[in-house]
Amino acid sequence: MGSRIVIKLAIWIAVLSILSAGISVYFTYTHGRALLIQSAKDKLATATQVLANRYSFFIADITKDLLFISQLPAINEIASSTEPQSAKHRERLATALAGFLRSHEEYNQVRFIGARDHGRELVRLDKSQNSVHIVEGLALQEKAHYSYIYNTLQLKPGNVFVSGIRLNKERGLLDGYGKPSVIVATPVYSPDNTVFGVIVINVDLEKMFSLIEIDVPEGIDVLATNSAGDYILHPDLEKTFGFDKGMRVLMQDDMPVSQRIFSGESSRLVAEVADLHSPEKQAVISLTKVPFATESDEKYIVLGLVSNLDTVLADSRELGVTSLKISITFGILFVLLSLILARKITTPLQRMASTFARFKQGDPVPELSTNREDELGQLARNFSIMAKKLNAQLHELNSQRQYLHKVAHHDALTGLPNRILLEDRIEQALISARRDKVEIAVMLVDLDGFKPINDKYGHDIGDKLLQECAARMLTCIRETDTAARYGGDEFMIIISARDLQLRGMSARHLSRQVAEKVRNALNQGFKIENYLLNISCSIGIALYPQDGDDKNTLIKHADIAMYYAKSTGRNNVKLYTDIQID
Amino acid sequence: MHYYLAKLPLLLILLLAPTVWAKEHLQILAWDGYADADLVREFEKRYQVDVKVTLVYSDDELWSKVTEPNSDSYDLIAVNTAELQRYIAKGLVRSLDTNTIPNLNHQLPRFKHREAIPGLVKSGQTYAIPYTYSEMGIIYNRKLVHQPPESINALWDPTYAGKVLAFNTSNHNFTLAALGSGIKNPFIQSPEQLRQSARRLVELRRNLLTFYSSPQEAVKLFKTQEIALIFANYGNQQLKALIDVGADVGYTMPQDGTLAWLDCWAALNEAGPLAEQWINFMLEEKASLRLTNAQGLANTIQESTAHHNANLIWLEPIENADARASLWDQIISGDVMERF
Repeated sequence: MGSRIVIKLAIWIAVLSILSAGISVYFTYTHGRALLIQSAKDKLATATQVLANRYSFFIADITKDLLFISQLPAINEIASSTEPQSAKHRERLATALAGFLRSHEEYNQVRFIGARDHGRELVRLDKSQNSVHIVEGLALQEKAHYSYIYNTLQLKPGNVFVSGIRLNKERGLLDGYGKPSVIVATPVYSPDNTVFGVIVINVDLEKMFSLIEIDVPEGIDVLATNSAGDYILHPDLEKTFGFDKGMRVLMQDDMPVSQRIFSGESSRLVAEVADLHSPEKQAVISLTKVPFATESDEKYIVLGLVSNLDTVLADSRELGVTSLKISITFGILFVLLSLILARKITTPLQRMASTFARFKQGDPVPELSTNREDELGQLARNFSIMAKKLNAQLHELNSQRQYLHKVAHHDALTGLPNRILLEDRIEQALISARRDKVEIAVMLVDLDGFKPINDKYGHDIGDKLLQECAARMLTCIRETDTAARYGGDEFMIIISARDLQLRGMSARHLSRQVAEKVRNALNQGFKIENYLLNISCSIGIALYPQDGDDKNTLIKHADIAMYYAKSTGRNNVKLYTDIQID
Repeated sequence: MHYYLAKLPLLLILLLAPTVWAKEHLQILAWDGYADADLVREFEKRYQVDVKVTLVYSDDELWSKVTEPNSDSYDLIAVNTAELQRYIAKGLVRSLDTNTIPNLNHQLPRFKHREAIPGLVKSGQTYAIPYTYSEMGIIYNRKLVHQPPESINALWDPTYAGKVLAFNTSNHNFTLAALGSGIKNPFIQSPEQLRQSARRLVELRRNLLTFYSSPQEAVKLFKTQEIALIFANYGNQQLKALIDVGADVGYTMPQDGTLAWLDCWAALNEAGPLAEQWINFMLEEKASLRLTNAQGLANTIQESTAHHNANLIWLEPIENADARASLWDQIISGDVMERF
């Protein structure tokens, strides 16, 4: 029984600890995951802002470069010269610009274009395979029909035009044809305050973005779109510059959430989207609008970073696994502890239980661990007290029962068995006699002349006489025989001297001997309270099995024999058998 | 054992089924407004296929997309009758099964008689189905131009220097240049005539603001710059786009000849029967009327009210598209006159 409590207790503690561990793992996982995703979003948003700032600084740097060039003395010389085509001036400018172009790997062309002659290039430096070429003569082209010329020529000094980002389709540029580029230009004014020409820098967008993205960690994709949503930067090159290839690919179609940027609803956003490389995976996108401070074909571009959540989710998975491991370890520990605890509780209980099981009525109260201070000690102490009380009560009950038994089966005056017990004794004797095939004798003793004594001396004397008679009768019989008070002055004796009978003595003979002994004992005078009293007795004997084989027959026949004895002169012994013979 | 072997082909079919039964694809090269996204979706739904439409903005672009060695394999192109000839000559397009295009019966009689239209039928085989057509007139800004220009040479008029928009394409521009300088057959030019036309085009370039490619681009330029004349490569489609944004413009057909094109659907060699289904779909009333109502272009099932039957010169095959294209590359990039 003890082990069952151990198992139950262990199971419950285990279930509770696993449940609490599970709940804590679940919350650690989901909360940790949410925190990690939020932190990834925050980081990405910051990174995007950094990227956007860097893009703005980059454009600002180009602007500074342009303004710096526009202040070069060589520019001024050409702009104020009456002979702008003069080879000398142009050579000086070309030399100055060559160094400049060489030091900026992201620029692939620098030009000084005149407003006159349909936008004829005055000085043009092209980069091809990182070496700078000065373009001369007929190779110098007319560019007035390009937006970066006709727009820039309308600008005030110091202002800058930024072209839309597109694939360069101008023949003549060796390295740049078909490459994504952005063109930045500023006007040059002659001393008489008329617009003279334009300085144009052609920026290789791939190089520019590779400089901007320089510390974007691996696994993060950079996106850029123009203000209509056309991709100009995307890990899938097929998607970029769709507008230049006849098939527009818009970010709004790929990621509807980005519509908020293009509709003007917000200028930055962070959202969860499908990963660009494997759409079944999750990713986080951060977009920010980068407006152009200057005159431009486009009002703004949109820059974005996409980070797939693999690492973040792996982190959160790891967190989950770690907390799961810890929980399992502690769960096992709890189960072990619970086993020990259960054992600690149940061992004294078990000891008590087995003590209780052994405890019987009347046993001395067992010594339990009553010196313990806890509930178990209390239980043991209470049990001790209860056992003592129980013992006392049982003792009392036993005495009462013994008393009641005696009262019910014995004659109050003489202390001899009464008629009830007598009849029972006769039945018992008959049962053994039948079994052992031996004889028994039922002897009825009636006092002669008792009534006159009782009348003459009173009941007290009569009673005492009866007591004395009973005592004398007991001296005449063996312990195995029974003497009982049958009625007022009638006694009955049952003799079953089995041992003697086995040695060859008959019940007839034996009973006669005992009857004579009784008769003689009662014939002796009685001295009771200074009175000397003399009585005699008449005795009738019935034998089993000769005179009857049941109680009532035997008693009846003993009674008949006794009356016969009385009628033949009292103080006499008669056997029923003899009466019949007579 | 034999039982299982007998089941093997069935198993293989089941395994391969996804690839075998994958959706059919239809790749189309067309012009802005020819195949609106909702019509494409309707077709996709009706025939359970995937359609990819790529837009082109010039005949040069169309040709290079079809002939690029590692280009996508397209199924259908929208091409004008003149350009079509070089596709046929190179064996790029296949003949059409006209029996599977029941909507041909709804076309106007002059489009039904395909033999009467030069270049559509070769040795009894139909190679293209007319879809839409337009003349290429001149759009003028009523605020700046008070007299509708009567000659194509208005584009060269220094009065409008820096306020002219021309179209960025090689073939028509050389034809236009030749028309203006009175060359007899502007479509077939000798190398010397081509050189002369190139010089004319340099002059044109010097007189204009810029070249445009799409109708929307022209609209944007008209709104942001001072524009007097536009060579309307897209014809009425472009006129409608401008009027839709409230531009005060007129449209005129130069007397010395107005070029006109008839665009047709043609199927490239790789195309399956789905190509005919697409053409049939495009000739349905819905698609054809969309062309007119949304784009202002003529269709082939209803008589047009907006189209002038002035001195139209229908486009014809040109002598050497590559030569024109390479000269055009130089012109657009800004090469100086001395280079031609």
